[in-house]
Amino acid sequence: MKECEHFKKLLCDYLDGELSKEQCAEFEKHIDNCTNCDEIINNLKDIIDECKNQGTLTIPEHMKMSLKTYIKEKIRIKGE
Amino acid sequence: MHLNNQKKTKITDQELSDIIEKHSNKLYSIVYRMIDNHDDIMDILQETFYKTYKSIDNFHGNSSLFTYMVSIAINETRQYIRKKKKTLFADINIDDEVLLSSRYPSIEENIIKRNNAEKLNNAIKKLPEKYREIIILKDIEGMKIKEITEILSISVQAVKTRIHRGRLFLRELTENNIERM
Repeated sequence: MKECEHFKKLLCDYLDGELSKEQCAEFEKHIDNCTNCDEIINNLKDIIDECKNQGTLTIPEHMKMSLKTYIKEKIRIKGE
Repeated sequence: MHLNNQKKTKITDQELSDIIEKHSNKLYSIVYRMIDNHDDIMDILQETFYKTYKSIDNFHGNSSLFTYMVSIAINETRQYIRKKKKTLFADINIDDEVLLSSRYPSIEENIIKRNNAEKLNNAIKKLPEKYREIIILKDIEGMKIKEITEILSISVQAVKTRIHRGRLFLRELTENNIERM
C-alpha cells in the first residue's frame, strides 16, 4: 500500500511521458504487479483519450464575422 | 505569433482580421466548454479580442500572443461566472461532425462514442472551476504545461498538481466507466 502511494503520486508524470527511463521501468514493474494501480492507470488513459477525442470546437462562421465587425466598429467609434 | 518588442502603432484591419481568423476557434472552444450561453460567449470573445487589440502595442512577447489571449479569455470567463453568482456549465451538445470520424464507424462504435462524450461532458460540468480550466486546457485543447503556467500565472508544480487532482476527480465523476473503443 505504501508503495502504491508512492506510485500514485507519479501517475500523471507517467501518463504525460515525464518520467525518466528508469522511473518509467520501475512504474511499469509496479503496475504489472498491482491490479489496483493498473486499473487506475487504465481509467485515466481512457479519460485522457476521450478528452483528446473531443478536440477543438469550430466557432460558427456567423459568430466569427460578428466578432470582426464588432471589434472594428468599436475601434472606429472610440477613435483608436 | 510573436510580436516581440517591435514598436508598432496599433495594427491594421487586415492584421486584426488575421488574428481573429487564427485564434477564434481555440478561444471559442475553451470558453464554450466553460459556460453555456452563446450570447455570453460572444461577449467574452469580444472583450478578449478588444483587450488584445488595446494592449497589442505594449505586448512584449514574453509569452506568445495566443497564450496571452487565452489568459484574457480565462479571466473574462471567471469574472462572468462570479458575476452570475452561480455555476454555469456548458451543456455541450456535440455535433455529429465532432463525433463522427471520417472512417465511418459502426453504429455500436457511434453509440459508445456518444456515451463516452456524454459521460465526460457531464463530469466536466461538475468539476470545480480550477480543475475544469486545467482539464480543458491540457487534456482537451492539448496545451503544453509551460503555456498553461503562463495563462494561469501559476508554477509548473501547481499546474501538475491541478492536472493530477483534476484527472482523479474526473475519474470519480465518470465512475470509471468511459468505455474503451
